[in-house]
Amino acid sequence: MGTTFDSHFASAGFPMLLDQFGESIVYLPNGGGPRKILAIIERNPPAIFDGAGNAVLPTATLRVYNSAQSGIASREVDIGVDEVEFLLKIGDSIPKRFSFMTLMSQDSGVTQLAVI
Amino acid sequence: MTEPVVEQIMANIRDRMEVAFDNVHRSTRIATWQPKDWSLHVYQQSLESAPDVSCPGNPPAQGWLLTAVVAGIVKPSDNETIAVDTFRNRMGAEIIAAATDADNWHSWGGLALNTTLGNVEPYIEETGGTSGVMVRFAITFRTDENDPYTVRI
Repeated sequence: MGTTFDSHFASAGFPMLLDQFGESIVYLPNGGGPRKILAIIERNPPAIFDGAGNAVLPTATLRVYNSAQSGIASREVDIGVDEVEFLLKIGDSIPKRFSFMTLMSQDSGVTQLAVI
Repeated sequence: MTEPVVEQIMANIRDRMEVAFDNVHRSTRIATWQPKDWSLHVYQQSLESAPDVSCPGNPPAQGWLLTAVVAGIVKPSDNETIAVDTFRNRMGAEIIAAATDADNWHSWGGLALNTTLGNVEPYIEETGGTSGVMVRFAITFRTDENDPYTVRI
């Protein structure tokens, strides 16, 4: 159940952030057609450590609308097999394809995903 | 460029895995591969001295024990109903089958004295996004004491 803040952030706050910081990416759901959406990309975030203490470094984290039309709905994303394409380094001309690592959060109208 | 014997063995392990698997990787400083379902990560742990297989001579033969790890990544769909352990068991078996699918498989092309199978350990990466099995191989080999590039059988 969303809070009042959740609904306000989803309808006003996040669209404003996306408008300022969003980059075009392509979501490739397993078995579905590609979807061009906007995402706030955080590149080279801190390492996540696995149970053995090894650094498992996500390539980036993405924040997108929690929507099956204009973003990625948290209920639809399949971490095991879905993929996403974006420019890993600023200035790259050819997007690279990445897998999802984990669904980090799904609150306030925002789906946050770690990709690798 | 001639590589040290330990590197030749690791390269040999990767090559043999590539016969059976499409995606086999070794680490680079910046990862350029994705941990997709049914992909392998080949890496090594410490290279230990193995005095029990060392031999006197001029130069002496230095014995080494290498622990090589082949990690198989299991990352099925979130909607998969088959147990993850089932995929892990299949992956572990396929790795062992691939490693042993050669004449004198234990010598890795004449580079090693012997190889024994170690533990097959499951792992789950902390976020739960990736899991799989790690198959360990204990590989003994010998080199010239003063030349780690030259095999001594």
